[in-house]
Amino acid sequence: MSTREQQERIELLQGTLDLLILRTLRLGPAHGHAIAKAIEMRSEDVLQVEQGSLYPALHRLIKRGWISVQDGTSENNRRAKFYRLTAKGRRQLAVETSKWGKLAGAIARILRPADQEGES
Amino acid sequence: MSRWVHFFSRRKRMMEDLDQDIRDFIERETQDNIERGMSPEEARYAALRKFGNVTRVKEETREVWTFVWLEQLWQDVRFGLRQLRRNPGFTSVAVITLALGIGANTAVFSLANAAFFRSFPFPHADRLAFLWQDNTRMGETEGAVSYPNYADWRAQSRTFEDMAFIAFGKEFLTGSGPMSVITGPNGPERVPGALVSTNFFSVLGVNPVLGRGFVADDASMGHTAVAVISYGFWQERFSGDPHILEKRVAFGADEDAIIGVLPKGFTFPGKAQIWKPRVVNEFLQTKARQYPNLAVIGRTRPGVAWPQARAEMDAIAARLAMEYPSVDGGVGIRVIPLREQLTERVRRGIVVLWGAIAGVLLMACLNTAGLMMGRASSRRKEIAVRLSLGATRWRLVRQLLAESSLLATAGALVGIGLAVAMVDLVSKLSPDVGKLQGSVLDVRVLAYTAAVAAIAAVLCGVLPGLTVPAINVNRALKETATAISPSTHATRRAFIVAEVAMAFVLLVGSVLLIRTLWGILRVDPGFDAAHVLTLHVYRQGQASKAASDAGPSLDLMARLRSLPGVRSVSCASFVLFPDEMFRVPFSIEGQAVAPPAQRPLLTVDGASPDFFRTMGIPLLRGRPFSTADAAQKTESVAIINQTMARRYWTNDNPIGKQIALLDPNYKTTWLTIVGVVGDVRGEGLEIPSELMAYLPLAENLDDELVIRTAGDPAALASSVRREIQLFDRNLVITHMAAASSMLEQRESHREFAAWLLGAFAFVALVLAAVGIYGVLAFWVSQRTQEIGVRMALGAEKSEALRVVVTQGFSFAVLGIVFGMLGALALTRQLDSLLYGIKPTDPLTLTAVSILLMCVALLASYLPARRATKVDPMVALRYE
Repeated sequence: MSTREQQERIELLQGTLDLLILRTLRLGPAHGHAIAKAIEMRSEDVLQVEQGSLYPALHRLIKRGWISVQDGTSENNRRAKFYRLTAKGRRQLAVETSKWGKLAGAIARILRPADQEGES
Repeated sequence: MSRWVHFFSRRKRMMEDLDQDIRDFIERETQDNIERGMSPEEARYAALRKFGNVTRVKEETREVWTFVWLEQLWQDVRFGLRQLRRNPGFTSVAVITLALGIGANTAVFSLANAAFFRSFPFPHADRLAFLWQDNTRMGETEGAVSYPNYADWRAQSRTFEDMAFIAFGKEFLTGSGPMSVITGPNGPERVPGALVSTNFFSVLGVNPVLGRGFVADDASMGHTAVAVISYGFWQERFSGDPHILEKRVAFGADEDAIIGVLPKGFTFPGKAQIWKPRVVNEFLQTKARQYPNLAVIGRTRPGVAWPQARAEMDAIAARLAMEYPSVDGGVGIRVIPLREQLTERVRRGIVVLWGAIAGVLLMACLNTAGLMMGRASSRRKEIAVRLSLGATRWRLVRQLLAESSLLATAGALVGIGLAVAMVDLVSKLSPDVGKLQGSVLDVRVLAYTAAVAAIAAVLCGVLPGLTVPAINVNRALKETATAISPSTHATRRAFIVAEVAMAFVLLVGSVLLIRTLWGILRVDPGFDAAHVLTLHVYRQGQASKAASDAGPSLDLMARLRSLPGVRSVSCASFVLFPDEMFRVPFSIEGQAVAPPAQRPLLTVDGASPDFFRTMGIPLLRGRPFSTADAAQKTESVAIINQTMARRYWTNDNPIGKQIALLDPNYKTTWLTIVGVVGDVRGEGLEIPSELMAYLPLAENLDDELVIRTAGDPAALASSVRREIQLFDRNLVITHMAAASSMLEQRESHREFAAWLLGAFAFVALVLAAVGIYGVLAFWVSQRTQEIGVRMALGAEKSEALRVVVTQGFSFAVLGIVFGMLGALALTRQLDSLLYGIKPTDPLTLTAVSILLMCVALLASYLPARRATKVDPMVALRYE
């Protein structure tokens, strides 16, 4: 792992990991490793999922009833825990997504003038 | 419960899954790394490194499934248990103290529970109420009702579905009222019973389990005499005989057919076992308006609220007052719901007891809090270490609360056992309370106990907990256990003062109440109860008229007089039961006759010539009745009591004055006063005696016989009985009793209450003494080092002792001053409960003060002396 890569990687904001897990599981049930890999890949390695926070997050979501867990067989015929989005989780994803959109938009609006000031 | 089980089992499953998942994750990562070209060992190592601290991940995931506070609570409880186990002495003292407080509270509450909340054996008891005549001129707000008034109320009321009555008024409710005398295999005996209206059972909604209740005809003159009996009476007296309805039961001179048996448990009013219909004769219907002697019970129509019923009865009372101004003028109607009425007597006693008991509990909590505070301060270092390691102060307070909750729980468990034993003992000693029993421990009582225990836990935990935030970590770690910060000193001093003040108020209250009760028991009844035997004689099988023939009566009385040990024999209409006597309006010679509503009433009794001497009632002025008076051959005469003489002839001699009884039942209206006798007190010795007049009575067997004996009246009972049986086999003796035992019976519930209160006061005293001793002794022992320094510097032993004892004593004095202020503040609340003693009674205040000072002296002297005996070098190192 190069120094440049490490600098470009961003720690996830509190709570955003939950949102990303839900978003990832919308594509279909997945096991823990696959979820972490998917997030890293889809963010083009910018977001680094810490395993230390992945499992507590998964369990938090289970406890809230947004995802469920079941035994399954993976592509190479191995037994694994598969996490699946529940109907409640699907609704929550919509809520969280729109919330995130608003937050990101708001932050962007605040930050934009600074950029423009700098450029002018 | 099952939710918890579910939660924990789910958590366990999730954690097992997590293990598998993490293994899976690492294997996959390893696989990925191998695919990228790493060697298997290298790949696995990289995967593990990437995953990070497995244990930490597990911990953090586990926390998702944890109620943090619950786990910590469990930790606190376990830690508390360890702490308590390590100090068995402290633990057992605290548990016993709390058990006493909580147990006494539970016991009193379970009695209150039985008295206030028990259900009545009647359907819709909430629609039943007593109705009384509210008679202002007699100062009697719950007076008995006359038959014509009852009949009018019943006919005119729309809010009441129906009304029934119990004859002879309010006394019946207590179960101490007139009794039926029935003849059984062991001779005649008194059985509590009631004379009731024929609709009595239907108004109450009670149906006999056997036979029938009364019908209207049962009350008409000349109808066969009938009676209904209780289930218990049927079982005990007739062994549950299935042919009971063919039996008869003898009542003195009469025999009644048994027509019904009531359901199990029904013994209303009081402890009634036999019910008879009150015969409604012409006199009762037309002439008896001025003779109130019924207790009326009404059942409202469904949906009628009490204010509505009261408003209607007020209107009816106003109508009757207009119609019969001479009798019903100024008479209101008072409607009192059944539950309120029946618990009225017990209520005040229980409220007093409750107050005392709350004090005991507070004392117990203070003691335990004091003990815990002492321990908390010797654990200051431990607490400071925990604080410096990052424990929050709240967490530490919670730790103390967990400990006090454990103590309170143990105290409650032992306390419940104590309560059961106490209630058991109490109901054995007092039949009145025994009657209430049956629900010692129900859900309500247990909930109450739990609430009391919770309060105790909070009090005991929070008080010492208050000192925790004040701990300065730096200083506490440096200081020794004995050198305590000034703020802790102040808290401890305040605590000692508060403890003494509380104990003072509690003890003063208890002592005053006990002295009140004993004072009442010692009130002079107004006659010589120790040497009087009373009895009633019936002639069996014949109309009672025959018994009153003057000839045989005089013969029998003469024979009784000749018995050895008999001083004199006389008779009276009602002995010892002035509350059952007639009350009639009267006027006084030379004074304007008041309007009917304001006319005072006079209680009138009959007395034979020898009556006053026989009873030992002192003749204060004038002369007793003569035989000529009794034969009513001379002018009409009367003897009045002292209360009457004082009221109307304060500075005058009443002898020779005349009074008139304004009542058609007395032949002569004007009576000349020939004598004044001392007051006799009846029900409730503390109640002021009433205005009373005696009219001369010829000796006959229709009335109560009173025998004055030389020695113990009970010893003479058998020879009197034999003499009467010898005289005439048909004569039946009923309720023969020594006057003193009758009085005792009447006042027994008070005596019992005094004992009970005394027992609680004793518990309070012990707790107070132990508590004061505990806090003071601890305070002194904390100063061992200081004493050692003083002595090392050359202080005399006595000097060191003096300093400590003076300080300890001054705390006690300060506490007593505050306690005195507290007691004075509570004066008004206490005053209504006291009789013959002021709440500021100097003797009581002084005695309690001295007692507490002695405890304080001992509590500071003994540990201080121990401290001075310690070698100064040892004392200096003392921790």
